[in-house]
Amino acid sequence: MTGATGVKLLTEDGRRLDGRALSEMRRCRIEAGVLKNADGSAYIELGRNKIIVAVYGPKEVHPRHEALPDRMLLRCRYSMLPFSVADERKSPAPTRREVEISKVIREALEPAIFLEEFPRTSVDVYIEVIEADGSTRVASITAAAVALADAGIPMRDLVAGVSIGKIEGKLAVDLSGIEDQYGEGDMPIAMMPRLGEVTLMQADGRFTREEVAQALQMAREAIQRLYEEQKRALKERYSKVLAAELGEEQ
Amino acid sequence: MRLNVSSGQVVVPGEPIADVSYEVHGPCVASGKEYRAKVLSVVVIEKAKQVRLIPLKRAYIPSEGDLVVGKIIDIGPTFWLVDINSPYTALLLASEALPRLAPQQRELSEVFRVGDLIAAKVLSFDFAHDPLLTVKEPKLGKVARGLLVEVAPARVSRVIGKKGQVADYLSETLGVELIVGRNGRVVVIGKSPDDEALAAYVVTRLCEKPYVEDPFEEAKKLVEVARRRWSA
Repeated sequence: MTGATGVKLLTEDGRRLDGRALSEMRRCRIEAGVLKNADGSAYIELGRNKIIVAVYGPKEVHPRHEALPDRMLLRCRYSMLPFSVADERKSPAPTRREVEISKVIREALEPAIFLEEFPRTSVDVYIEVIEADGSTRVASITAAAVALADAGIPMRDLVAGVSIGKIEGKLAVDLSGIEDQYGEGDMPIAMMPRLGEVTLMQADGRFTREEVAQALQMAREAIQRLYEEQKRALKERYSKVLAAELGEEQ
Repeated sequence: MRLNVSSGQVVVPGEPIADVSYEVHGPCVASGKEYRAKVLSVVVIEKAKQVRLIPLKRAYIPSEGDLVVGKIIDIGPTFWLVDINSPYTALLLASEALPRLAPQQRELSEVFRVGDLIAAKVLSFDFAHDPLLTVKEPKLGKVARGLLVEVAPARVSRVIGKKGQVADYLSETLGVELIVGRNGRVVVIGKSPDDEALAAYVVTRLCEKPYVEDPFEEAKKLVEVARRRWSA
């Protein structure tokens, strides 16, 4: 059986093209503090995705009239490098898609940040997709949250995201580029893992009520795993130095 | 009666620290019956029932009475604009540096010029208005010579130490004058460039690690290291 697009995305034994089970995520690795010049930074590899995020702030707002009197201004820029996509070179000019993704990422991160802590300042988040292979917006959110925490921005919780898709009529976790392109639906979901609140939920394709409920449950589980990796990345960056430090004192 | 952390542990934003029967100092929020970390910090358990969170990174937020080292970036009609290494640019009003009221702008540049480094105190700050500075106290004003060392604002307090212990120790043993700005700018003024370089080295090294348990001991050690290096 094939999906609506007529492309076969599942093998006979129910595995996906890259050999994953439907509920299986791609391998994810996050590193915090990879850039020296940014206030905070993170790098994520999710399958073949490679994304780097730099955070600057809190700092004075430029241009000044954009400053908000009662809270911090969060600005995000999601951008794909010309060589990030498989087909043809992507034009370096921001596309409509990138502008939209920048906006939804900002809105997914905003609820987690104590914006009222530093009025009249800004925090800028620059997301550069080095290599893209599906689910880049949620991978960007996962990395951006780590970069924000690394910059010392006060937050309620981290934010992590995963996409749930529909391939050949079945729900699958963490869509790859091919699955996104030829599958029947894509539902990126981001949550604050500890608080369990959803901060991003989009969908294209058709999902039944039951499927949406099931997708949320699948996302919740995947996000908990991503959260563990986020914590590991942040702690590891400093713990090594600290362990050496405390050992020396004793 | 629940404590979720141990000394020296790094916590991420949102991580539970302890329940409300504990006393938690530092950036945290009480949510429900527990305290949660707000920023990436190190945990230090000070006493039974008392926990401190030390942020690993922090922008400098001015606070009344802070000594800061500022750079003059612009001259206005009745004030200087001062960069204090903070998201908030400070103002030094002409009345804080000149005796007469309503001075001419020309006179302002005779006192401090763009690019000058000044030691100043924060007079007032609330988030709605820019911080105001003063130089009206002894030892404040233009920093004419010395070496400027820039360190992370989150770590500068260890250069000062408890009741200025570390700063006093450093200036005494190294024979330099130290101006430690809370905003992460430290000026060392010595008799010779060598003295200044040595002191600058110690200050930089002292602020390299994300967390130092006993800054005074650490400073002593670093002075030893620096002395050996310089004499070699």
